[in-house]
Amino acid sequence: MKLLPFNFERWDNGKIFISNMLGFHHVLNNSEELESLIDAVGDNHENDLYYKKFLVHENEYSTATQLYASSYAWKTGRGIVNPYLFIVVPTLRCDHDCNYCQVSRVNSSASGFDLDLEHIPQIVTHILKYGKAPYKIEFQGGEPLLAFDFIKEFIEYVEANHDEATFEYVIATSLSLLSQDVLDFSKNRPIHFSVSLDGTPIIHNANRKHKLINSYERVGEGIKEIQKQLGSSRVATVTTVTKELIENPKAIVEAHIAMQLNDMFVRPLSPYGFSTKTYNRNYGVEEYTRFYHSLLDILVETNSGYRLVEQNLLIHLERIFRKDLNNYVDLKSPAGHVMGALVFNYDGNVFGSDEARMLHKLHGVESLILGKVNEELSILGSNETINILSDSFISEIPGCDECAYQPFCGVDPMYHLSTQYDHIGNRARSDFCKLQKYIFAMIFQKLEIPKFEILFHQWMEYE
Amino acid sequence: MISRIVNLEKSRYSENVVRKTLFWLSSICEWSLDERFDNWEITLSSPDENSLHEFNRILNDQILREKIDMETRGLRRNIIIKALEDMEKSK
Repeated sequence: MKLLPFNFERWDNGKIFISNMLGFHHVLNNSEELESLIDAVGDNHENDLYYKKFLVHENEYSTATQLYASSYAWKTGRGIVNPYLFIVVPTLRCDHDCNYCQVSRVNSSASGFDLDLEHIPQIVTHILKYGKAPYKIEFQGGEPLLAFDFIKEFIEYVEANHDEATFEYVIATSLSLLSQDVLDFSKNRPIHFSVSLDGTPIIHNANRKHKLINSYERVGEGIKEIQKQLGSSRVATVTTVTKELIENPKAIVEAHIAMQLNDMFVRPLSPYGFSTKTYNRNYGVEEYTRFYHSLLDILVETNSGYRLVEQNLLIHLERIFRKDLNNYVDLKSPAGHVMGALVFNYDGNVFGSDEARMLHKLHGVESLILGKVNEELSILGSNETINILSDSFISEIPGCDECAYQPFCGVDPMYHLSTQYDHIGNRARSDFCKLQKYIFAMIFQKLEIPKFEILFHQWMEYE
Repeated sequence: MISRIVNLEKSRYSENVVRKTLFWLSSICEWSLDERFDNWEITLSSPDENSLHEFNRILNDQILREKIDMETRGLRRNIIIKALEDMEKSK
């Protein structure tokens, strides 16, 4: 037998995880098995390692080259795509004062922080030029419902001038301003709502502050009305894990069950906006991974009686088991910057990702601006963009090149630009890398436990 | 702080193996690398012995990776060439 290329990672339990360019993976029991594989010793028995293309007969070497090449070309090509997520920021104003606000929002009464209505036709033109149907439009802020007039006019413009059936919308909102007008407008339109839910009332309100209302109560009321009037599938949550939640993973499960939600999306604090001041003082990767481990233990028991899917984990599962998928903007190779998303900001600037607009706001990185809404746009026109993208092929990044989770993972140049002032970054010092390695290792280890294997496959079947 | 000097013979440990080992070690401890005629002299500084054990583990793994690379480099090169040809044809 001859050896084919592969990478390996050691687990704390002594086992060794291996994978290859084709996305096949295997778990070896110990170092002896690893060394035997590398030496391609043993008889010519066609075992798992042969079928998963870690070994090949000498007379099949040429065929193996063709197979690997086709797969590598296909996988790489799948990542080089037009933008498919279009974020429109109608306002940076917000009525909340969240501690970890990533976008450095301004007060709801501030002026000069709204996108002009006259830009709507230009934004739609850019979307049609660079995207492909179905066009996914996400209204972000600030608090987008403070500029609901803009949202209405945008959607009505699309309906009057284009094939409305090819557009779908998400409004990322705290629901503090959800009114019957908003619900009526959304009723027969493909409009979904994404809302932050950070835990029980005390935990949620500790970081998501509003001067006049109880933020958690308003979230609960809003979710209930959307479920009642529009349907349960029209609202989804995002949970940002704060230090108040990190010791109490059960709180977020209870909060979702209390609101009759069947999906959750859990993520750590990110190094943008207001949270950069306290990012390193909140908690480290090790604490987050302990939280996440406990959360999954709770979820496997919860799901025996109540369906509750952790969507962030599901994205990772799909990256492993659905090799045709490479469309989660924050975990793809090459990066989802520009080749995944475009952001039309309140000030008329266009960015290649939400994180790029946050970095620009915080550090004034002008080279991240792709152009202006009201001008002819060339999204690959700048050297900075080309550099970022050409440096984001995961198999070429130092550290990633030898990682066994490479076939499933992605790159996040904005994260590294924010934390290491370099879009490639040093993976040995990258919390992004540590976290992704942890998540993938945890998934593969848990797949060896029947109750988790069943749960993870159930979650994938729901999709 | 515990400091240790490690000498690695160049005839046994390539520059690539040494530098990749130190790359991954940089999140765990401080190090410096000096090139001598016949060997690499590495100074490791860490608050505990665990980091120094980690150095040996990472070094061993990099040697294994180098072995895999030597066995499969020709094939990987052919794969990339073929992949680029395929992408060119599909345009």
